Amino acid sequence: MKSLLVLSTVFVFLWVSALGLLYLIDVVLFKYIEVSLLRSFMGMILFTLWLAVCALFLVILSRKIIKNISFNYNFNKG
Amino acid sequence: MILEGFSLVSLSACLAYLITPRLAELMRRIGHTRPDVHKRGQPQVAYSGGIAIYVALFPSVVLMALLRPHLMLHALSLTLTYTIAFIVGLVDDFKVLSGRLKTFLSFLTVIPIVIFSVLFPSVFNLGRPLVPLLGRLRLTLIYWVLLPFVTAGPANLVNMLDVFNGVMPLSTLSVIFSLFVSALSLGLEDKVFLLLPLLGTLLGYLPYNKLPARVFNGDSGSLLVGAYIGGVAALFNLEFIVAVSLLPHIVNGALVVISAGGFREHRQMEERPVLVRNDFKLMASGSSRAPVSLTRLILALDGPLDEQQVVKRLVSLTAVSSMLAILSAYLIPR
Repeated sequence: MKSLLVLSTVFVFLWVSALGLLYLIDVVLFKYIEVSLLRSFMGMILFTLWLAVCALFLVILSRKIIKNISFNYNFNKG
Repeated sequence: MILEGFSLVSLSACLAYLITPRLAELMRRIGHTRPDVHKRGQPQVAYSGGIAIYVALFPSVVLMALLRPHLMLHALSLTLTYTIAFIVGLVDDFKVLSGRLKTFLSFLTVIPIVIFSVLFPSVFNLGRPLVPLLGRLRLTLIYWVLLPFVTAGPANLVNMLDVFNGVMPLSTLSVIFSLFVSALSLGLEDKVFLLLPLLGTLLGYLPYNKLPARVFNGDSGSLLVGAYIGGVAALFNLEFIVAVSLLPHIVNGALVVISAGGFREHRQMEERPVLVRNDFKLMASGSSRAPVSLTRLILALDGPLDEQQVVKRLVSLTAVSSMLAILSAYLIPR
């Protein structure tokens, strides 16, 4: 059940970070930038950055998890 | 309205329940089977269950359009969208396509939605996704750049997580449930009718695909269901909700694509992310050359598990993401 706990936490983290990004767009972009095209452009840059950070986070986390694989169990069991 | 919805779900469920075993028998007779590598003796299982899903879905969508004539155009564009995905999947089921070509062809699923939105701009209100905190966005150029991913994305993501008996119908039923609740909470009562044919079909199909499977979905099934969900997301303006409910699929897809270095068929991968022990328990590969997947992470964290335990975890994760999706819908300003 450890996997459910860890991966659910990852999903909640990704979801909260997406909401944080939307809040940032709402507070910074929609309030201070008037030009529609600039808003879209900045929004796209922020979204791409967020995607890149999430991908990096997933890669680092998955490497850490896989490094800890226990090889104590017997492959030929059964 | 409830009676109409119930009759739609019942019709599609009955059709899927009656058609699937007959299709499975036909597929076995023509030798269109695949070994179930996670079972003792690796029994041959009928392939391309997507044909049964497609056949059961079609009359239900027609009935839905007759019951709700104002959704006729939506139903037509949706039917064309999932038909393209079904054809791409069916070709891949019978004549293996490369990962890249299949992904490219899946992008064609967006064409009907684009054409219909250009021809009937008053009916198809695209580019106005509903998002938490901000409400309805007004995207212009960027939406059209991202639109192909709205249908092709879910199609490929659902296909990539379709690795164990019952995972595809169970996880997508959870996604459909979250979409249904979200749409109702946002006052889209009438549009939820578009979801009912798929809901019923998957309920009728599930008994034959759940562990131990008597029929495999094939790419025809998983691409079709994913494209249908993506199409509904675009028509409902609920792209964000679908993205959240598909989080396990997205994480799995991202991990596989990044670790495998691009879109590759599982047949093209040198090493498998998951290994099968002699007692038919699954274990995570420890090789650095094997791609990373959600299942590999589950097995790395929990140790060797049997197929049923892995399926339970994958479906539970989809339930978690579906709850987050419903929560997101309640965060959308009215």
